[in-house]
Amino acid sequence: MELTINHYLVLSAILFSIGTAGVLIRRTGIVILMSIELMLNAVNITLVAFSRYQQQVTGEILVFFVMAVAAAEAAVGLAILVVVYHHKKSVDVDEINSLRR
Amino acid sequence: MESLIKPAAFYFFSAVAVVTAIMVIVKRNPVTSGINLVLTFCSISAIYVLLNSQFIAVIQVLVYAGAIMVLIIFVIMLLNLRPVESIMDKSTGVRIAAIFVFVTALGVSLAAILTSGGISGRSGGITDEFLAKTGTIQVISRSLFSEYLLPFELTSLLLTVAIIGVVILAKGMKVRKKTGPGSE
Repeated sequence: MELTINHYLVLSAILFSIGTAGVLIRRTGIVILMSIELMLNAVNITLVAFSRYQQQVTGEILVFFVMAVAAAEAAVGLAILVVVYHHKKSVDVDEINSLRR
Repeated sequence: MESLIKPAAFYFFSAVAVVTAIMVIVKRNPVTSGINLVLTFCSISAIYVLLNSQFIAVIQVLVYAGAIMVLIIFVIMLLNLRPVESIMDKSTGVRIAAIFVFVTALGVSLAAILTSGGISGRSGGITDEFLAKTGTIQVISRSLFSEYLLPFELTSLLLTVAIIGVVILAKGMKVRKKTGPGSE
């Protein structure tokens, strides 16, 4: 039995869909951020799988950049959540509707 | 025997990754979600090892399971978040939309993967035998510091901007507090 690229792509698709579902059903801001990290990781699996099966190195370098962006995103996202918590005493995203009023 | 270990390891780590990923989104306590996400990241790191891409596997553990998750769990503890009563407390419309998007995203991507005829195109020539001789770090860094030098330098700019943004967000909080309530 040989592992093909489809094995990795299917795993990535499942993880990405779970991450999407997490972003949509949860209201806690931090869990939404975690789901976004999960989606980014699913994409990284795809990039590394294509890179290795094409015998190239480009995908792995792209993963490197995705990780840098994910780190920046997590830092800024968490800082925003902390500021929101100081204003609202909650990180429930359904309560962040100041611009709607 | 040798040909059985790799698929067995792949299925084991994939199962761990998928189960812990589901745990991340269904657990009511954010701390439990965070711990499960660490397990997901470690299993994904094992998947990278199976793909013979050890550098990315190490970076995955260092950056995701190490830095990002410590930051997230630190913020959860700082904010003292309580477990929510229910994870499905959105309106019915949003709930239906979430299930619809989940099924569509999974279905479309699985259909696309399973009906495709495999990969085509030019092979880069970096085979597993070549990597066994030179190592992944050398191959990646040679490409990173020549072909992709500009994106690499722009990444440092991005991280600087992120640091400045975070500092401004944290500072702004103090300034607003000093001027008192009702000043916004």
